[in-house]
Amino acid sequence: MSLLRTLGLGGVFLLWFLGVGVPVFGWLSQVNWGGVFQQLADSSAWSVAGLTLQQAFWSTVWSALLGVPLGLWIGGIPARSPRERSWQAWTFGVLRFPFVLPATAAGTAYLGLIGTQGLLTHWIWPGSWSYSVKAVIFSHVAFNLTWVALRVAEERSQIPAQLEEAARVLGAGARLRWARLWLPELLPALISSLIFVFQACVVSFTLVLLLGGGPPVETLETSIYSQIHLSGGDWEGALPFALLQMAMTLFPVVVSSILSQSVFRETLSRQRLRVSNGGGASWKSPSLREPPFDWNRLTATGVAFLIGIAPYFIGIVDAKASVLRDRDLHEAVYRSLRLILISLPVAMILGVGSASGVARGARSAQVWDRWMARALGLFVALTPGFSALVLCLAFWRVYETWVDPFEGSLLAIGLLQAIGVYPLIHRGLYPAFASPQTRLLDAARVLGSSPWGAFWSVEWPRLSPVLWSMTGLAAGLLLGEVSTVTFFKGESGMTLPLLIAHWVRRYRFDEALMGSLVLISLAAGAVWIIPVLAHKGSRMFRKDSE
Amino acid sequence: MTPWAKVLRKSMEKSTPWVMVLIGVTFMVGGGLASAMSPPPVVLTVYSYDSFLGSSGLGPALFSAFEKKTQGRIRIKGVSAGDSVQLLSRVKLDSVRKKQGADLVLGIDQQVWDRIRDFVDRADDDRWEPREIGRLKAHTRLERGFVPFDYGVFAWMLDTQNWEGGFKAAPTRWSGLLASPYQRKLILQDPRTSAPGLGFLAFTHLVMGAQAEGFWRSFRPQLLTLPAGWDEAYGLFLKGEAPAVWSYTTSEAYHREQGESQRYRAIVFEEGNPAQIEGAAVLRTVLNHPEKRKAAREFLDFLISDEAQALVPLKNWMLPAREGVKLPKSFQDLAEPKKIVVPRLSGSELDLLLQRWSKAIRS
Repeated sequence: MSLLRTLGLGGVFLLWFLGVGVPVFGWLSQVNWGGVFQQLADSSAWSVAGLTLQQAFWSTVWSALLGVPLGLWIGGIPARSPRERSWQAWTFGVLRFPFVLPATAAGTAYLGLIGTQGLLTHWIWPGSWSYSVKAVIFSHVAFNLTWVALRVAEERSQIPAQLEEAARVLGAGARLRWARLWLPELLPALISSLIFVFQACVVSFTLVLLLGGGPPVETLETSIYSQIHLSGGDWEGALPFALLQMAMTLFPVVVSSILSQSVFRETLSRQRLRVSNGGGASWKSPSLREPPFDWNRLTATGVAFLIGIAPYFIGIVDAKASVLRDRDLHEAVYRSLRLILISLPVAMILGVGSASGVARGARSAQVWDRWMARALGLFVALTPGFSALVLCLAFWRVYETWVDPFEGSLLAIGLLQAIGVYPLIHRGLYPAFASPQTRLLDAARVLGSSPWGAFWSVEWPRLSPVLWSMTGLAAGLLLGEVSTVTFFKGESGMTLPLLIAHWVRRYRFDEALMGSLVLISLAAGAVWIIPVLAHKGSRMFRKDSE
Repeated sequence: MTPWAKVLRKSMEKSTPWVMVLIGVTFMVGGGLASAMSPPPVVLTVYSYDSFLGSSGLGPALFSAFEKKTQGRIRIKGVSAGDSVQLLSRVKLDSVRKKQGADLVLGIDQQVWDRIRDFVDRADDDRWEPREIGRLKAHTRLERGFVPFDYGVFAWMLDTQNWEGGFKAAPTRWSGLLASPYQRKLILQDPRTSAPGLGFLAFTHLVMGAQAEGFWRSFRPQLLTLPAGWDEAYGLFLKGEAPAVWSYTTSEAYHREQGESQRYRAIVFEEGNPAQIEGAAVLRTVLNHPEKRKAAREFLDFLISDEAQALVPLKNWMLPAREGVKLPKSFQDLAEPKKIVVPRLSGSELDLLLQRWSKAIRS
C-alpha cells in the first residue's frame, strides 16, 4: 500500500512538473525582464488588470449571493430512501451540467438570452447592457452559480440530521444553528468554490470575447491572446499580462489559506466527529417505507434544470437532423472520443493522487507527509492561474526538440488537457478523501481483513460514486476542450468543437448548430451515463467477488 | 475434322489456362517494368490555412484538377497550417530548424507577404514569373514572387430588413456611418486578430491620414462588438444581433446562391473600399531541389489559368485575380467601388498603427 502510494504521489509530481513546472520555469528563464518591466510600467496593462479584477470580483459575489441559498435549499431536502438519494444525485448532476459545456456553446446560449435579439432582452435585460462588462458578469454568474450551489448542496446534505435536531432540542434558534452548525461545516467548501469561481472568471476567455463586445472590454486572458496572435507566437508582449494574471489567481488562495487555518482545523475535527457519530448521508440506513412524494424536491430539480440545462438548449432547437449523417461529424466525434481515452486516465490519476495526497498529509503526523500535502495543495492552487494559451506556448518552447505543434502531439494534448482539468477533480474528490471511515477500517483490520480488503469493503462504496461522477464531469469537460487541441493537433484532423468552428467559417450554420447539439448531448451523456454505468458495473463486480 | 485439327484443338483446350496465365504475367511484369522505368511523381508540399484545405474548400478542387492535368507527374500534399499568422510562424520555424517543410504557400495576403518575403524564392538574378501573369488584374499584382490568385473587396454587408430605411437609406460615404441612428448597429472584427479588421484599420489610416484617430474614436460607439474573427462576426450578423457587418462584397453572392438576394446587400463608398489579395509563393526550400522548383512553377502557371480561376468563386467565395474569367450568375453585378485600395504596411508600421488604434478606442 505504501509503495503504491509513493508511486502514485511520485507520478503526480512528475506529471505536474512535466506539464506545468518545467515549461513555465523554462519560459521565465528565457525572458528579457527589462522589456517586461518596461511594459508593466505602461498604464494599459494595469487598466486591463483592473477590469479583469472588477468583473471577476462581481461575478464571484453574485455567484455566491445566488448560489449559496440555492445550494442550502437543495442540499437541505432530506435524502433518506434509495429513491430520494437517486433523485438527489440527479439534481446534483443537473447542477454539474454547465461545467462540461464548451464555453463556445455556453456563450452562444447566453447570446440567445442577453444578445440584442435575446429572450431576456425583450423583457428585463436592457439592450444597452448587451456586449458590455455587465453581459460578461451575467454570463460568468450564470455559468458559475450552479457550481457554488452544487458544492454547498453537497456539503449541506452531509450534515447529519441528528446534529441539527439536537441543536434544535437544546434551544438553538435558526440564526444560532446557521452560525454554529452550518457555517463552520460549509465554510471550507464555500471558500474553495468561490476561489475556483474567481480564478475561472480571471482566466475566462471565450465568454469575454463573445459577450464583452471587444476593446475596451478586455481581460488579461484576451490581451494575452491578442498579443500572441499579433506577434505570431512571440510571447514577450504577452508576459506582463500573464504575470499579472498569475498574481491575481494566486492572491485569494494565499489570503484564504492564511486566514482560515483555524477554521479548517476546526472543520477537520468536526468531520472526524461527524464520522465517529456515524453521520453522513451515504451511511444512513434506508427507511423501511418510501416517504410520500415531496413537491419541494420536484421544485428543486425544476429550478436546477432551469438554470443548469434549459438555457443551453434554447438557441439550438431548430438544428437540422439530416446533419447527423455527415461523415465529417462522425469522424470528429470519433477523434474527440479517442482523445478522451488518452487524457481522461491521466487527469484522473492526477486528480485522485492529488486529492488523496493532500487529505492524507493533512491528517498525518509525519513532517514529510505534511510537506507533500502542502506542495500538492499549492499545485492545485497554482494551476488554474496559468492561461491555457501560455501553457501551450511554454510547453512547445521548452520541449520543441521533441514536440512540434505543427506535426501534432497526442502526448502534449493528453498531458495538458489533464493538467487543465485535474484541479476540478481534486476539488470534487477532496472532501471524500478527507473523511475516511477510520473506525470501520480499524475494525475491519482487527477482524482479520487485509488493507485492500478493508478498503474495498469500507471505503470503496463511499468513494466510488464521487469518483465516477468526477470521471463523468472530466470526460464532459475534455470533450469540449479547444485550446490544447488547436495548438497540438497537427495534421490529425478536427475534433468536434473545431469542426463546429470550421463549419461556421464556411457559412454552414445549420451544420454548426447540429454539431453544437451533438457536443452538448455527448457532454451531458458523459456527466450522467459514465457515473451510472460505472457504479452499476462496480456493484456487479463487488457482488461477484463477494 | 482432320486428325491434325483435332490434335491442335485438343492441345489448345489443354493449354488455354496456361496461355491466359502467361499473358497475365507478361502484362504484370510489363506494367511493373514500365512503372519502374517511369520516374516517381514529384510531391509538392503546400502550406495553407484551414478552410482553404477543408473538404469543400478551393484547395482539394485545385489539387485534383492539377494532378489530372499533369497525369500524375506531380502530386500535391496540402498541409493545413491554421490561420495566416500560424502559417507564417510555421514557415519561420521550419527555416530555424532547417527543415524542408513546405515548397509552396497558398493563401497569404498582402499584409503577411511583407513578413514572409524573406523566405520566398525570388533571387535577383532569376526573373521567372508565371507565363500568363500579364492576364491578372492590375490591382492584384504586388511584386515579383507573389502570385495573386484571388481577391476580395471589403465592404459593409447590410441586413436590409433590419437596417433603418432599408438599402436605399444606406450611407454612400464613410462619414455617413457616424450618424446617430447607426449607434451600436455595426459589427467589425478586432484588427489585432483578424484580416478583415486589419484591412479596415489600414484603409482608414491610409485614406484619412492624421484624422484617422478621431474617426476611430467617433466610430467606436457605432460598433456593437468587435469579435476576434470573421466567422464569429458573421455568425452574430446572421443571428440578427446587428444589421451590418464588415465582410466582403462576395458575401452577397453567397446569399444570392441561398435565394436571399434582396435581404443581404453589400454597400461600397465613394472614397473607395479596401481589398485583400490572396496569393501563392514558392519558398526558398526548393532551391536545392530543381525538380520541385520546376513542379512548383508549373503549379503557379496552372493556378492563374482559366481552368483554375473558374473554380475560385464558388469554392473560395472570392473574386478571380485573372481578367475575363466567366463568373457564376450569383457573382455577376456585385457592388464595385469606384476605387479599390490595397493597403500594405510593414510589420513595424502595423505595430504602431495598432497601438494608436488601441489608445484611441480606449479614450
